[in-house]
Amino acid sequence: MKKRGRPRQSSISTTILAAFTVLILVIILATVYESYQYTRGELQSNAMDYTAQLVRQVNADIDRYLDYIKDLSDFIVGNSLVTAYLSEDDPTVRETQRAQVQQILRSAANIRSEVYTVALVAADGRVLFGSPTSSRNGRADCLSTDWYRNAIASPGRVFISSSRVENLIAGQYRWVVSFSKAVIGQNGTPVGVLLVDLKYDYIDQICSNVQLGSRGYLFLLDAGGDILWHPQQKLIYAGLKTEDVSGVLSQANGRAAYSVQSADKLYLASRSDATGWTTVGVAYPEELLQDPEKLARQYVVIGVLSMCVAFCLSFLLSRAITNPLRKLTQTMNQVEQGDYTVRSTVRSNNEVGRLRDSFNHMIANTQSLMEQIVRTEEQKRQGEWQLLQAQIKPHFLYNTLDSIIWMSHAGKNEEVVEMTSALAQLLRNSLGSGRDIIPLEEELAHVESYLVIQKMRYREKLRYEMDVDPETKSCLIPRLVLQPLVENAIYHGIKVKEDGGSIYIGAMLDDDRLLVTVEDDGAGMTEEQLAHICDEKESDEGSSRIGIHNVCERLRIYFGEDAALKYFSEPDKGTTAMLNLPIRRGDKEAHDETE
Amino acid sequence: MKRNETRLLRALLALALAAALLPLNACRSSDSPLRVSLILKTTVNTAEFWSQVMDGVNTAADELGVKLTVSAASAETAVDEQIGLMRDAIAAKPDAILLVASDRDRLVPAVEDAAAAGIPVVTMDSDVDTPSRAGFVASDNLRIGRSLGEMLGQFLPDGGKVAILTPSLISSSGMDRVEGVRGVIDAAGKYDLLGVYNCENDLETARSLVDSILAEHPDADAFVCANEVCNIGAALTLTQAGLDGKVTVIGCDNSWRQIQYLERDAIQGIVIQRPFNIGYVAVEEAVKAARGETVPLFTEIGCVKITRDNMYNSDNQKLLFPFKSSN
Repeated sequence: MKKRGRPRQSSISTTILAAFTVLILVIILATVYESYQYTRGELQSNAMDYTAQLVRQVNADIDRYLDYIKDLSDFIVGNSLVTAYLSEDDPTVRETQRAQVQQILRSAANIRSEVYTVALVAADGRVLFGSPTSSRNGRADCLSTDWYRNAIASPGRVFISSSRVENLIAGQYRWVVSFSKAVIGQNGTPVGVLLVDLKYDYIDQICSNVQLGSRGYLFLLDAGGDILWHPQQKLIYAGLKTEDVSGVLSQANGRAAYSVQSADKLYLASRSDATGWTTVGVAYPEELLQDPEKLARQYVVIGVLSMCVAFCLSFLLSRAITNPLRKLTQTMNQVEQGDYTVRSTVRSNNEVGRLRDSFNHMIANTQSLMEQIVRTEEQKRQGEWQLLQAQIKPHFLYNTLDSIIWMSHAGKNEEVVEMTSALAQLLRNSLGSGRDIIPLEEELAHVESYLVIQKMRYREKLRYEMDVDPETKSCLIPRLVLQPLVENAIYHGIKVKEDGGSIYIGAMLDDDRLLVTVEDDGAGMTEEQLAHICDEKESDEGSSRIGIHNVCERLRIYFGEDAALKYFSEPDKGTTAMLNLPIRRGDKEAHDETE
Repeated sequence: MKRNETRLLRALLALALAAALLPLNACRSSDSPLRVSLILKTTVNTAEFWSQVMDGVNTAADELGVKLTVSAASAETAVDEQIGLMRDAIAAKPDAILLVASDRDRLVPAVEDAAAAGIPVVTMDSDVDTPSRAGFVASDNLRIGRSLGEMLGQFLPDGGKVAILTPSLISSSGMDRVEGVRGVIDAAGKYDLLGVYNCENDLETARSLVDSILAEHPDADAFVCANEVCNIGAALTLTQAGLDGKVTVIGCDNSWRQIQYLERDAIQGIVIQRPFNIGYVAVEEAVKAARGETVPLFTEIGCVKITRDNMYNSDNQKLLFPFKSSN
């Protein structure tokens, strides 16, 4: 396609490809992005579920352990020896009970290494330690502490303190979590408090082993909402780091487990009803994914691959649509160049198929129309020639009949008989068969009849001789080809010469050619006459001559360019007409029929 | 047309690839850990104060991903040795230097050289006298002194005779604290200052000083002590004399002996610094300075007033009984 300043045209395949590619690109991008987000969300929520489960697990572990300490407390508090010891007012009696009670406390303390101390505090401030080596810090005022007052205030319940520094043992200050429970005397009033201190390190052991991703961690809140344990306790206590504790607790709404999103962190809280403590897992959402970049890469690869596949498919599809069109166009171009025999063989069942059928139908129609035109032309030409053939007959007939009348008058009966039979033979030959192609033999007979008649008219002025190779007799030639040549030789050669002349007719084979010559020694022709021998012209007056032109024309119709009529002539010496034709032979039967 | 088509196809293909590769641009560059050189006065016989400072330093280094190199002179007074350590540190080209200067003036040239070499220097606890250093992290000794004075007012509201004990008459921290106390006392106008006594940071000297003060002024009402040694010396002497709880003792710093005296009411109040915070914040600022951010010339780490009544507050016990590094 040439550019002629028109707006640029795109082929259908390019347009389809472009449209498909853009469409598929958008769809794939959207799909891949959506799936990526979905997978990301799924993985995140899975990881979050796992984390939350872990947090609940830790919470349950702590609960279970604290339950054990509570059971221990209940066991000691319910012991009658303990109650008796605390209720006893007499120091000397107390001294006797002391060893036994201390044994109870010591064995309780020794069961678990993480128990820092077990102590009984009487209402009057006396303290009995489980370990005999511990001595009381005289300055420590235990009766005003939270653990003591809360235990007395709600007897029957175990009070769990927040993390605190235990200063009850002289010279030692240790971070503990205290469990305290009132000991009820015989009269139903509290006579003292049992204190079990759990080493703070133990909570550290439970919690610090829990790993939530590479950055995630866990912290513990006590019932009052203070941070009980934190992996970065020092930073928390130094005020260098804070957690959004109030934000976490405000979202509880009475639930046992919940999650709170705060800034870039995700808090997963699990609250224990038994202790009132809340275990809080801190996770970083972007870290919950094992390897977000790997996931993204996978999706990019999927996206690129599906885009390549889609691109190839749309390329093939656009080809599939436009290829039949292109083939059809090629066929049309062939028709444009004049070949009406081609038919489109494009295989398609859709609109292109219908287009192909219409096109083929149209070409077939056109072709048959063309053939019809050719046929009509041919018929027209034949009609014209038959007309001509019909026209010449009367002239010659009248002349001949005149001659017969004239001879009858002269009483030349023999001649009349001869001429009449020759005429009859001539007419039989002319009218006897409707065929246009006849054996040479027949044409020669026709010529001979003609010459017999002419000989009557021209007498000694006309002499003729025939020399025919028998092989040539069956060769087929168009009807009335030879006779005009002879007629021409008589009228233009012999007739115009004073002393007349002779005509020689010869037929022979030369390889695959049939050569027929009509030779006269008459007036001959000038160069100029020779040049115009084949021109179309009116018949001479009184002549039955069919123009040489007509002969040429008919030879062309039957043999195409393969036939030749040549004239050689010299004024006063004579003229030679030579037919050079391809050899054609008819079957014997057809030949017999003409007899 | 054929060429145009090919060009269009190529463009579409490129577009598709570009769109597909877009998410890959979300690559980030991870920066290598910063290197910080910490130069201490000494690691020999350091007080609990310094172990807590180091706890803060190490915690911050872990937290911020800092590669820390620690060096120290053999003694607090070995100033030349510390200058040599500074030179070594500059040669090693760290991202920042954290310095506890043993001499306010003599370390100035070394700090200026470091600044000229493009290495920011942050000082902690003890400063150097040059504007070249990027920042200074410490408690304000003047404010500690004033807090001591305020606690005196709390426990001796009606005025009285007051003696001030200081570990040194030349160290800036001691002098600043004394100045702070005097400012409050002078402003109150109801206290009779018996004098400022230098115990030279020695317990025995402190005890004999207290004894002689008591001999000279039996009616002394209060001792204000500018550090741990003075404070323990005063509490111990008064306890032995049976005057614990009768004479007001206000002190500085945080040790378990002071805590015991506080429980027994031999000491009425102490002003504690937050050494963990000093170490932590100093590293934070060194990192900021190394990254080219501006840091304040002086970052004050506040002090806290502790009395017998509030020592077991959940907030205060966290400061008084710090977790050990092993936790």
